[in-house]
Amino acid sequence: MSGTQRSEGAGTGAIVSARGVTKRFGGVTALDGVTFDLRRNGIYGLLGRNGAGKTTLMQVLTGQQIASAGTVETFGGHPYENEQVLRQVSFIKESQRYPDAFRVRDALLAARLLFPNWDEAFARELVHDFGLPVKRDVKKLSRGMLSALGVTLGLAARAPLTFFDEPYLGLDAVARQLFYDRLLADYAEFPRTVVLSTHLIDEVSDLIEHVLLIERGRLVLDESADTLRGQVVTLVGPANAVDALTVNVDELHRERLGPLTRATIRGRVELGEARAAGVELQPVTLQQLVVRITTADLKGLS
Amino acid sequence: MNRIVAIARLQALGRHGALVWPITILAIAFAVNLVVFASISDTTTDDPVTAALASIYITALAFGAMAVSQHFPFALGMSVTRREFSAGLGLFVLVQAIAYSALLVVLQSIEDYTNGWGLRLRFFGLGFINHYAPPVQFLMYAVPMLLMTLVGVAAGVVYIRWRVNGVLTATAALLLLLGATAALLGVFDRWPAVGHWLTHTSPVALFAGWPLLLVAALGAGSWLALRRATA
Repeated sequence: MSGTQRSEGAGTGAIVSARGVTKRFGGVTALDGVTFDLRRNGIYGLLGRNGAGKTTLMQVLTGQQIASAGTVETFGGHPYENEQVLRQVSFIKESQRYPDAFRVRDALLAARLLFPNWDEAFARELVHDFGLPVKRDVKKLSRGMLSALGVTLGLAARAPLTFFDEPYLGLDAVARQLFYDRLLADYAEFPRTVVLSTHLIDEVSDLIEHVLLIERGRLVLDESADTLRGQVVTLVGPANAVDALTVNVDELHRERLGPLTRATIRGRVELGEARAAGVELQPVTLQQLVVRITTADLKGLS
Repeated sequence: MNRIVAIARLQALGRHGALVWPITILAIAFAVNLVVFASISDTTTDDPVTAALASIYITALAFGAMAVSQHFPFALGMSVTRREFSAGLGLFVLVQAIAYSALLVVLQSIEDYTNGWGLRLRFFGLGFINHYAPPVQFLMYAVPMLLMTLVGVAAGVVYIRWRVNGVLTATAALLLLLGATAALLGVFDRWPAVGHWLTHTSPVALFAGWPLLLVAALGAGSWLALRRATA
């Protein structure tokens, strides 16, 4: 998808641009020629299956890993060892490690000392809402509480570029909703660029404005969520009618249900034309869409 | 600069126990020594010397290893650069060595003044540090402390950069190197020369001079390895 065209961009300038980013660990290629931009202010969904390369990509963008090939520019500079850049970035990894001796309050104090935009009052609110035990040792926290701590640090840091890496692990539905609500409310008040790495696509589909889909280290989708919803549609109708409508489009998936054929396609189909042929058009959820594109892409690879 | 101080300050977080324990152990060791030597002072003719001081130096080694292996991954996750982390750690290590050494110089002066706590005990003076002026004493306490810390730091860096295999390889290589040196010295009958050198080099050079070179080497090596490390 490296050739994705962008008509927007004017006035909203890219704050991150990755060009042909490749990362190899020994014989494994974790990232393979990834090219994309992140604009100022926006909520991005970095989607992909486990092991697709999401965390590695975020580590390269934040200078925690060094790319084997390609270039990364974050806030106009290379992020590796760049204080000017990193001061505007927050990336609490899903697997973030804390010193053994740290209690929750130590981690909060560390974040207060290190993030220039840190909002202490907001952090306290989040600690209260998530029920974080401030005096407990971090290493004794449950998986959910550890995620809540990461989310609290990431939100209250208010970094212009904020990454959340599978922030919901171990969080129950209520806590997850709390995170999404707090993120949206705070984003409305303090706009910034948020990248949400996740494979729970349905949960965040209302939140994200732009989709980056990564599969086996390759970026297979870089599209605004709205465009994407308009691009992909499911046709349900008699096989021959569906066939006639889908000759010139990219077909992602097809299944037969008795006399009916369901085809998920990427491209435009005129509503009137479909109706006349007795074919029904159904919207596709972001999750279905990602699954369809990923599986179609995998078939194309093999 | 404020940021480096803040990063240095993180090293003290959650370390109250780690800071208090070595002092406590030292105090206990000191109390035990006082009691023991008070009971036998009539029977000994030499000035009693003890090596209980080692406890705070061993703690310094453990601190160095933890300061890197546990704090580096955390700092990197908090958008701290490797350079900032290293500067902060360096500052903390230096301040820690200065604080401990100043304390030891003060205690050694009291020991001097009270003629070894009234027992001719050389708990802090160790029977040779007390022969020098306080500024020299300070260096003889501080440089070995820096060395111990840096050995720990270097081990922590090896672990961060190359994980357990790296630590095992480095340990094996070090043992091999020391063993080979000892064997070669034996084969060429140079041990007497080593002994001669040790006895004819001043304690100042042995404790504050040569170790400083090692400190510099370990510091430089650690930085070079940490510069390309990832969390």
